[in-house]
Amino acid sequence: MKTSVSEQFDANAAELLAHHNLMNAVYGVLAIIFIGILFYLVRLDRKISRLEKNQS
Amino acid sequence: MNLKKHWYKWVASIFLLYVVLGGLFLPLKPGITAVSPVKLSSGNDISIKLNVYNAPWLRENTSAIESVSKDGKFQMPAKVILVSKGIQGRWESEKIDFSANHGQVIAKFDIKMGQADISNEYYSVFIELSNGKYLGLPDAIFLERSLGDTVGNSTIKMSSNENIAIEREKFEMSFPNRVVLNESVRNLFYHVPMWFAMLALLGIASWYALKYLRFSNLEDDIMADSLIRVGILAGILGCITGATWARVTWQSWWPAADPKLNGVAIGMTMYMAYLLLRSTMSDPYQRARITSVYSVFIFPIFIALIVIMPKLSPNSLHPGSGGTVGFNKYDLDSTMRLFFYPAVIGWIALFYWIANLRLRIAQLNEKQLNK
Repeated sequence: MKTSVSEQFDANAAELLAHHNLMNAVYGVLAIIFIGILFYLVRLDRKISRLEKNQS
Repeated sequence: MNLKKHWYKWVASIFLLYVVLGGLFLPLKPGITAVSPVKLSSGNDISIKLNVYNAPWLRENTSAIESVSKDGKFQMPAKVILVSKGIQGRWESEKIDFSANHGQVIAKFDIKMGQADISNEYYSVFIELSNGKYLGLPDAIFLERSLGDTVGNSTIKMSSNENIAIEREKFEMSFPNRVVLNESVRNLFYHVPMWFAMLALLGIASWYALKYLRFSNLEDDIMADSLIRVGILAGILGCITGATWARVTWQSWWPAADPKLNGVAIGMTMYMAYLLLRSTMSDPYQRARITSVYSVFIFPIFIALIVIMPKLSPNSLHPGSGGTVGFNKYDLDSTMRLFFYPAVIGWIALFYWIANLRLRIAQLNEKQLNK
């Protein structure tokens, strides 16, 4: 009985670790920031293009 | 390139390169990530498994450990200790084993409470290393008296003076291994500076808004507007990155009980209202006057909502508020500081740079409209 509880905990702990490789959270956060800034730069780029078109 | 004019661009580039590379590649200190079982009854020959993260001695096999331990190159686990909070008592392991494949330390205990007046309580688990340092996991095991364990002497050792604290390691380049956070502690360099950048940009924007109200120069209004828009961008990124981080550590995308999150939700709405307000007016002077007054007023409220209110609240998950400790206590160690401060400066410089681009576009736009 005692071992089965411990084994169950081991399985849970292993599962938790497998599902939560916390390094992925770091990559995810960096990717979000990168995409967010890129998105804003594309918007600025469009604004500049519009200005250039009006100029000519 | 004119260094005087472009200095913050250099700061942004160099600091962020340093922060991203260092933040990703420096290793974490070893630490205990899990203990099993989490509940024990006293008795003989109890075995406890500890999962240890990033410990160099677990990568070797046992014979290799013995050979390298002689030259003192690696810190070796000497014993495993259970320490209680209440009575300053401790049990030491009789024997320990390593399982290199699973990154585990297995410790055998003989625990007898006997007639001693010991209540069932939580014990912290420590691995004592051969060089006298400790790896610890606080309040990890609940230890209770087994039914037959009521006679004879207790095997607990009282240690009134000998408090085990995870001592501050001497300076070495690695990040602390915190319970729950583990590798994601690195997000301190990417998520937290988003908010610093937002606050910095909104603060400078308030200054320009005040300047507009004083001198009625439309240039100042455009500057304030650009800073606020890019500040909002930083805030949105802060929200999304925060949600991602919270999902893996606090197990929720948006733990609604946290006062910091509620404050941010209200604060961001106020700034969204700024955008809406600005888009409804076409006369540049009227628009500048009204939105300047609005942004000067909401900035202190925003500060109150995301900085002051969470500090006053008793139950925030964020550090530096309520029951949790602030940066200075022990959350930030010397290696973290070495990257955190450059990260804050670098991200502020980067967002200021983007705001500057936005400003120049708006200036050109204004010129074309006036033609």
